Amino acid sequence: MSSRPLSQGNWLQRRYARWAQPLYERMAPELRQEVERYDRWLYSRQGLWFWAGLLLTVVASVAGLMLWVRMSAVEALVLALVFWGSVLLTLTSAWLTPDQFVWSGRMNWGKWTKGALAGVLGMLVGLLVSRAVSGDLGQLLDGQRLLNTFWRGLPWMIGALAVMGLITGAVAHLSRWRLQIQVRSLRLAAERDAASRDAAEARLKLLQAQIRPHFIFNTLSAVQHWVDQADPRGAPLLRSLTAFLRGSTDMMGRDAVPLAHEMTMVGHYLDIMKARLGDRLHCVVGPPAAHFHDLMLPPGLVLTLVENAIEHGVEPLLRGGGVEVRLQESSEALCIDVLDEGPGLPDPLREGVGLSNTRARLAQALGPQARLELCNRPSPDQGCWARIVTPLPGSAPSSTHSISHLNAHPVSS
Amino acid sequence: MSTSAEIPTLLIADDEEAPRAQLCMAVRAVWPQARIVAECVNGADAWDAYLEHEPAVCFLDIRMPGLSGIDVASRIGAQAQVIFVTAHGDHALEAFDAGAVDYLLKPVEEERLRRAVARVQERWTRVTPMPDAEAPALQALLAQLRDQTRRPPALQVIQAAVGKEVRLIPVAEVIYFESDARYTRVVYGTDGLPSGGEALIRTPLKELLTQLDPALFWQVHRSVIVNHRHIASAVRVDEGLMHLVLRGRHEKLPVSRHFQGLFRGQ
Repeated sequence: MSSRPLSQGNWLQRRYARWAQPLYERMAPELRQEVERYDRWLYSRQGLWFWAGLLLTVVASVAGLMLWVRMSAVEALVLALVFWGSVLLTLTSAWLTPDQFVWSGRMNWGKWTKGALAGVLGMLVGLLVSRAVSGDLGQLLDGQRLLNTFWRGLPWMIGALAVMGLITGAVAHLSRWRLQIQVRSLRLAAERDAASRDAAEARLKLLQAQIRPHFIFNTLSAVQHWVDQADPRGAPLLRSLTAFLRGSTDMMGRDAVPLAHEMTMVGHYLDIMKARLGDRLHCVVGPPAAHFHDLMLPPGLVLTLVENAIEHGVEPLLRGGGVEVRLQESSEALCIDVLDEGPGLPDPLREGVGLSNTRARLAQALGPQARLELCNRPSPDQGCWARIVTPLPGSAPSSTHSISHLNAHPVSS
Repeated sequence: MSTSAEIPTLLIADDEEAPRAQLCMAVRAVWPQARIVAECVNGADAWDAYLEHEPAVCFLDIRMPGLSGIDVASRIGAQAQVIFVTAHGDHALEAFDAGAVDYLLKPVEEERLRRAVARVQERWTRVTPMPDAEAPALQALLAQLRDQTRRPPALQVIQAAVGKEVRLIPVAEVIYFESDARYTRVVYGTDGLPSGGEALIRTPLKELLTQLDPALFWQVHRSVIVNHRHIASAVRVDEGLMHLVLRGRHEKLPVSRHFQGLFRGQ
């Protein structure tokens, strides 16, 4: 099927396009697209076969009418053209606008009345024309003969109408079925698009969080000042920032990193924050977990908790506070604890993007047995306690690993 | 508000030492005529220093302990020009861009600072610090941003050492707090009950302020925060001076100029 618009085609195509343009403009966009597609086909080389077929049908009908019904040539031609023209028109309309032809459960009396009137009128005009052509006008006014003709023709007309109605209905239903399939596949495609867009957006958010612009520019601000001032704190801070950035570039795009690598990153991060916050931050990182060095974790898992502890547990305090990171290993699980001395969890707790992200990645990487718990530290200590429980493969960590049994008010499990 | 003939006074607040020092140096280089009257290490400090010095221009870091830069700015209102300082990636930046609010990004670039200072100086020469139409819009924007900041839960009980005992004073029973040299004096009591009294606590008033419910406790002076339920009336003494009379008490509390707008009559 040619895809070139008719308005850029040969002489005939251009003429047709010019004629059809105002009609196109009145159509709904989808319908118009479809109609233009058919028109392009009809006025292309392949379309010639259609016209040839139509011509053959009309010629055969005329011949048949003349031979068997003994009509005059003109009568037969008019009848054949009107008949095939209306059949073609009806079927095309049924195909293009099936909703108009499918029973909608509601009777449209106006439409039906108009249709019936047009039918009767058409019949009368047809008779008139055929009689006029065959020079029989005098007989036309003979009411009795007209009535006789009408009664003779009536069963044929009803039969023809019924057959036509059935065919039209079938075509309309077929077309509707085809449209529904199209709609369904479009909807599926749209849903697929939306899903992949969501996934891309989530990835982008994760990347943005991993880049941490606020943290980096704040750190650079300190580096810049101390370098300008030849302050001895400048060089080690720059070194820690470089190590941190190198480490996070390595982590980016990876699904899992060894625990040792993650803890190195936490170390760099804490070094940077200690340099920036000075006396306001004191932190303790417990001894490494010897048996879990190579445990693979989603990158940034512990780091996110440490960042949260500093952002919500240290920075809001006028005099600063502490952060503690502990690793506790047993035969069946590893617990990673991050504790702060801040105001504790807000009530009610609204989990931010970071936390729900962490949870999702934890479950994805280590299975549903791995979990992240958050609660306030039991008094008299103040602050928030975050624990990641990662089971060893093949073991289900018992509830003794849960911090909730140590605490009366677990917020989440 | 100072007039153009005076030396412009500046306040700079950032909770981290290096960016604060950097900004101070940059401002001194770009605007040598101005005088930095306060370098503040947190939001509570910044608000207190603002009340003490009433500077014309405040450079406020957004994320600060105590009060955020947004909190301090909305307390200052239209009384001084505020330039926010923050790092890239702060969620407030979008709102600032939309609301045409002045801000600087850390690390501060001298060129950008120069432009901000030029804008401040341009406004400085006008009679009013800010066009009236702009001020409410800015306040609305700040209120919206303030709601997004997390703040510590309000203080419920005050522990005050009196001799050998530690008294627990429910915050709702406090009548007023007053700065007293190195301490804060807490005056408390329930209506008509003899159980009231006074106690001294070590927490400075400016820190206490950040933990009190602002709907109940009104700051009326740099050194006075009062439970508004105990206020009987506000009496204007002369152009600059106003006193508060408390219910059933003899003492009068001063209302400083910045807070006199709280008592306007309707």
